[in-house]
Amino acid sequence: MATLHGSLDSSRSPLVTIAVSAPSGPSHFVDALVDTGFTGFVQLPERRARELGLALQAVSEAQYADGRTGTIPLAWAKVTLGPEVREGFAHVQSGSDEVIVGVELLRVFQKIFVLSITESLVLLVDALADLQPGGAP
Amino acid sequence: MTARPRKSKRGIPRADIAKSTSFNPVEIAEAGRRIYDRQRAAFERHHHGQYVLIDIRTERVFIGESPEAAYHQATAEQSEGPFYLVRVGQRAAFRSRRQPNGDAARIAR
Repeated sequence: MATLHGSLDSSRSPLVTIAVSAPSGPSHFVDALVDTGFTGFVQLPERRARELGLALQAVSEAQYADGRTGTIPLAWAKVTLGPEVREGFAHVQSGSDEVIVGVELLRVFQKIFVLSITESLVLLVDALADLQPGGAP
Repeated sequence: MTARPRKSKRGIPRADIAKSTSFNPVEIAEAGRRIYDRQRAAFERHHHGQYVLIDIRTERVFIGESPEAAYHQATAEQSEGPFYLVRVGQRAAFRSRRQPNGDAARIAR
């Protein structure tokens, strides 16, 4: 069972390292923000998606917190999390330089997200039993 | 002389994206919405909460419990898109707390 350790950035947002690629391309490691308010798989800046050679294949809509909706181009991408590899739709976002992973990625990889700001603890675990009492795994 | 827009069997003009080789998100979304709206009642009656992936060129529809499941169906049947993805019964297939232009416009709620 793989437990993945992440970190907190300077604004105490949780980060995990993932590798992203086109389905048959080389992978690039990036630090991705874990955002449970994002229901997608992964979001990539447009420039990063272009560097990876991702092909735009679909369009969908996202609804933002202020109620507005926006049109989002989607590309099929491969994400590696520790030893595991899965594929899903990457949201290609212009005007942003953040890589974000959302709850769909947690579902696809079947991971439990553990966050403690006071302990500076960011974990992705397979089961709650992986968490040892009295300390991090 | 300009050509009239090609029409589907139901008389609804198809978007130029159906003939185009470029990827234009706005045109794809408009064409996808038109196709979806023709079958909206049936989708909402039988597939509420599921994801519908529409091949804009062929108008073939793939339905799954997740975006990935719908896409795997499409690729299994050699459908190449471009696709329009909808979540049945929702205003948008995805939600995000962030504004589309990233960090600076993050919404704190």
